[in-house]
Amino acid sequence: MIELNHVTKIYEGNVTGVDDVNLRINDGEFVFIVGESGSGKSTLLRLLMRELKPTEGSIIIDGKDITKLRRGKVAALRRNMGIVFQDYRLLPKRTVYENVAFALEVIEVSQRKIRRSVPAALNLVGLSHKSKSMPNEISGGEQQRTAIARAIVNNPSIVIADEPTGNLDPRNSEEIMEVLEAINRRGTTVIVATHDKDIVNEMQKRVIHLVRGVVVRDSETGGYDDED
Amino acid sequence: MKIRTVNSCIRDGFKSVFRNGLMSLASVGTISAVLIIFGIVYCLVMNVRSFTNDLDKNLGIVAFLNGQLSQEEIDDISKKLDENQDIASWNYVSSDEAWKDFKSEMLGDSANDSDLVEQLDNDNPLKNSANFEVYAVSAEKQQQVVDFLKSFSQIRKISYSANASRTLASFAKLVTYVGGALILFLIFVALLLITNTIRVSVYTRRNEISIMKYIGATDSFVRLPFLVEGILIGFLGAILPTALVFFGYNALVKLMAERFSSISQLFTFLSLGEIMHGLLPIFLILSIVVGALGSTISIRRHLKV
Repeated sequence: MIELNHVTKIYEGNVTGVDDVNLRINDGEFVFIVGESGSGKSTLLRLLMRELKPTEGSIIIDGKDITKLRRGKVAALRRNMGIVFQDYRLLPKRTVYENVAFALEVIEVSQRKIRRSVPAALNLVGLSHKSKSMPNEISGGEQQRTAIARAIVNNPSIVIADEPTGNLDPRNSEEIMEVLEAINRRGTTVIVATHDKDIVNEMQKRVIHLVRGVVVRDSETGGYDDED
Repeated sequence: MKIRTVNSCIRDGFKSVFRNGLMSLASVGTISAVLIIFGIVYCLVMNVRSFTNDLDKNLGIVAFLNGQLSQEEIDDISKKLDENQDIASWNYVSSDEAWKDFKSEMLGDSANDSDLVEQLDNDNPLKNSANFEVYAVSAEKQQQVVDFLKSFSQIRKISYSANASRTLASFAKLVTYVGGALILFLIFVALLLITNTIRVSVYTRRNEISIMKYIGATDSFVRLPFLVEGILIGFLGAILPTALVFFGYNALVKLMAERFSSISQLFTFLSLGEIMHGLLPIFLILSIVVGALGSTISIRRHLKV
């Protein structure tokens, strides 16, 4: 479970990232964090990844306050998180298979487990047939699916996606959301920051709406612009 | 960290040196240049120090005694000289020995042939010249030893070369300080260069580093290949200067001996073995430390993800 208690992040120059955010996300939930650019969506995700520390408040993940984690322990926290970016962030000189395997290599998983886990992850995102392709040989949607496979190959309990469809056309966006939904069905908590109204409206999941760093709406299910 | 991972990180570090070909070459070249200058300064400083030490040993203090002292008094002074840490060695010269030395120095082989000399043997003209020849541990300590000797009532006169010792001491100090400052400056330059090279390497791999951090790689895992790269560049940079000193030093000493024979008569150059014995570990440690430090500085900012 993820719990944010009175979390405020103020950047240098007195710029507010998020302001007194209180949230509770249960295990296995699918949550959209929506809002315009600069509303604090990315700040919220970066706080969850422990890339940033809040100015005030606490963030509890699986019973541990991650704001108090020492730097050396952040790696262990992230091994339980899969992170997906808008720009995919694949390694251009490695194949699809190698990009996914890379996530396991850096956390020193055995080659035997890598040979077992990578095909399974590629199968889940529907990319088994492209495992030998280089990133520049596949479409944007396929690149993002590779990034998702890399995020889930270690079976994390939480997947965080920052604008995963930001660079994709509607058809590819839909496919990406289907993959994320499939991952969520396996019991993984999925948190997606987006300003793509269509996919939020289409999926009817929990929506947390941020405006200038403040949570203005937290609906159990609903569309992008629904009122409580 | 697993051995397999360490091996893979080391392999990555090696690959990176070759991947950044020209940049690595430039760094290796500049580190070599710095170490060559370092080597020259080192050879100079060590030889000057050895030269001044040699001279120190020859700068004796002669303490003349009041007439004939009893054996007990001589033993008492000897004991006190032994106890003084600033004294490297001393030698008691009795008036008879002083006369004997004088004779052999001044008259050579004919010393025992002359009647006059025979007469003088019975009435030693140097009977008041019994003395202690004392050698300080270094030129800097000479004045302290002189002051110490002055405290004995049995010593009537002290003869020493105050200026020579002072000049030598300050020259040795000057060479050490100037050489030390130059070496420190060169180390700083080397560090700057290696930091810049690794920074380029880190920059080209920044995407990879950020992905590694997001997927839970530890700082040491990310750092190790760059550490290997830095150390390797430093190490490669040390090869040429080592070879140059190894092959060039003896040639230079020989040249000095041929061209400037007066210098080689004045003092002995340190042997190649003595120079390499001191320089090799310094080159090795310096190249490794500078390489490792350069990498650590370059990657630090990128680990804060």
